[in-house]
Amino acid sequence: MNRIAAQAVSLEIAGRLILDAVSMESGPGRFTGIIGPNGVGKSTLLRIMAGLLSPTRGEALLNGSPVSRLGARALARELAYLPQETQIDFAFPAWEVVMMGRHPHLGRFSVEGRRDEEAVRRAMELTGTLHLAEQPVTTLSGGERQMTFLAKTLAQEPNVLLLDEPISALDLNHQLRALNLIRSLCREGMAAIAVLHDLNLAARYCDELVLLARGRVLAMGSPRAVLTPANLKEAYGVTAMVRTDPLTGCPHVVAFDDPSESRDDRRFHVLAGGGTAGPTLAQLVRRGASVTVGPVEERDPDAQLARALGLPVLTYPPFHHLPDGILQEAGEWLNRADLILAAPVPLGPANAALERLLKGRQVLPLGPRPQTQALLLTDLLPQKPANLEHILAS
Amino acid sequence: MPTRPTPLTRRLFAALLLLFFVLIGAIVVSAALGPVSIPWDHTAAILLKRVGIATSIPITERELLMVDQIRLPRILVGGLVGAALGVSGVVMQALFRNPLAEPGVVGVSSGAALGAVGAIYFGLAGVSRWFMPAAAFVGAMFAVIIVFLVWTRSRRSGAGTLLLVGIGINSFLSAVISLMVANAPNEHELRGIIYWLQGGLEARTWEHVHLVAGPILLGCLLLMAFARDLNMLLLGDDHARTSGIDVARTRGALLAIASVVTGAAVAVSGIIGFVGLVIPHSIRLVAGPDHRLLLPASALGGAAFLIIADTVSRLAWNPITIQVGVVTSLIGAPFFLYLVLRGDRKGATR
Repeated sequence: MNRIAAQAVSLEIAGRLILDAVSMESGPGRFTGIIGPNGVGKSTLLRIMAGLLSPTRGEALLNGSPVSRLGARALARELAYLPQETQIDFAFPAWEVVMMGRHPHLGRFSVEGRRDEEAVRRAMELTGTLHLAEQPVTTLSGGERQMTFLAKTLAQEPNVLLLDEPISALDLNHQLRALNLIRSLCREGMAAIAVLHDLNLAARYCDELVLLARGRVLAMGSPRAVLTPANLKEAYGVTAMVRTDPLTGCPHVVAFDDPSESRDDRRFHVLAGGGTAGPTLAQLVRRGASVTVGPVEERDPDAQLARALGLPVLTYPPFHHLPDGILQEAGEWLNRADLILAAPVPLGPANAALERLLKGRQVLPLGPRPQTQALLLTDLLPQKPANLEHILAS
Repeated sequence: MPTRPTPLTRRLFAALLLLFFVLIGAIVVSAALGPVSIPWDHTAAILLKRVGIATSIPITERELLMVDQIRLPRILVGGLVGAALGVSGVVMQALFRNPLAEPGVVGVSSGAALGAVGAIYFGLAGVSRWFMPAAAFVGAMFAVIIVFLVWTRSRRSGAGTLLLVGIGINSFLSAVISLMVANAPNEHELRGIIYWLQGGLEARTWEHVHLVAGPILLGCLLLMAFARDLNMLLLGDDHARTSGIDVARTRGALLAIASVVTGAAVAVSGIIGFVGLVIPHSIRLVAGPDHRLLLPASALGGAAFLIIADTVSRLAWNPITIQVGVVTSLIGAPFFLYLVLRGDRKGATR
């Protein structure tokens, strides 16, 4: 039970295919996020599952039965929906607005009882809106109003909760609070689906993500499986780096827009290490260049960044000297590159062998040189270090 | 520690009790005043006798006739019409989520006007004294049905579209009415038309009361049963639907009932402006937007207001005639503005 699904749902409006055979589902204890670029049909899909819109083909199923065949009242006892924003010009006290969530549980002539008041009080406590109970909803701030309407959907005591961009109007604290609340309600057995724009919060709080692009499901599954540089490129057209945030342990996305001008499709190899090559790698990837990296110690920050950008990276085990085999392979990688760049990598006994890669090759040093006494890889090169823009321009 | 607002039932009881006494007061005052004033105690005794309570106060035959057969039916028709307009106004404002909606917004009033004006224009008003109300009611229903049909044929079936269709049909019907006014066969008919268009309660009898009491009272009670649904509709269709309201069916039922109630009222009173707009607003500014309180309060308030306005129209500037529809606007507009200003200061409205 508590299962909501879209089954091969298509929607055509005025000859335009908004959704094309989209299937997804959420079940008890699961918090599912729908992500994707603007205008891709995320809200539309949610509205179809809420029974607000009939699909052209396919259907939305609540616990296996078509949503369209359930009466409004029967549906509302199982499922609650929070619209993106609510326009209201009539000055109901917040308490009464939340109480409206009790409607499907009340008969036409019945009066709200103790049971209903408890549900309202609990919902307002959970959302932190109880202190606003007597205030007219028209005088609340956007965020307070959104939390009040969230309380209304919770007072409905749904088994399935559908939320359309629930946190867009909220400040940071309320965003975290709202998502935490939804997740903890899911832990108690509710199923929730939310349309979200913030990928990092989605990755942190959702159990699974559905990525829509051009009216279709591009990927679904765990946040780690869905949020890949390739998927983000395909869906949003951006260059993205996905790595594990060290504080939350969740995937974290940093995206760069694609400059349509100054594209560069040469093959680059970057001699990296010691966390010196990050911005260079991001810049190159952004310009559409194919980039290889290494050799670099396996746990080096540059190795992690290169992996997060989805780049081939040649690594060697930590606390070892750079092995000859790896050096040889690196030589082959360098030979395949159109341009070889050297980051200001500090040299020590472990990676001193990097010097051998420079021999007989045209390698360009990246600047500016950091203020340090240590010997850097770029110090071994005859040219003066230059910044990347400069090198690419020439 | 913040708690829930004052329980609704307590506010409801207090507000309705107050309005009920205002209404009774209005009825007694209106029955006592006129070209021939009747002493208060005599008026009260006649009214009490009417509801079956005997008193020892001596009443003359003439007083009894005047109050019981002339003034009281007129008062009751006024009260019923006022209640009908007040309640329909509330319902229309909620359905359209628009504080400027009024009972005639879906074409009821202009349809009724066309029916009545047509009856006068073609000289049929004299066929029977029931012909005018009948023509008005049929016209009202006809106009509403046309608005509904156009609306359901349109691709976008939201309340906004209905409002636009209503505006369109209203302008068309008004144009036809203007045509008839301009080409009225003679002075007498023209005067009849203008009187009807301004609304009046002259010479209303017990038969008028019996004619409209049923549809108006029943309709108002039905609408009150939808109070919570109307509250939900104010949050918008998405909220209402996902909180268990069959929005399309509910809206259709409410529009139909409100149209019948308005149509019945307009059929016996002509077009009395401002009541359906000012009463819901005034009550809302004082009592808040909750329809469980707003609907019955607007019924009582609308009834009292129209009775008072009609009393003023009978007395003021004698022997100059001033129609009740003019009075409602003259009293209603400044009062309404006062409420708007007061409400703004309290921050209760936008």
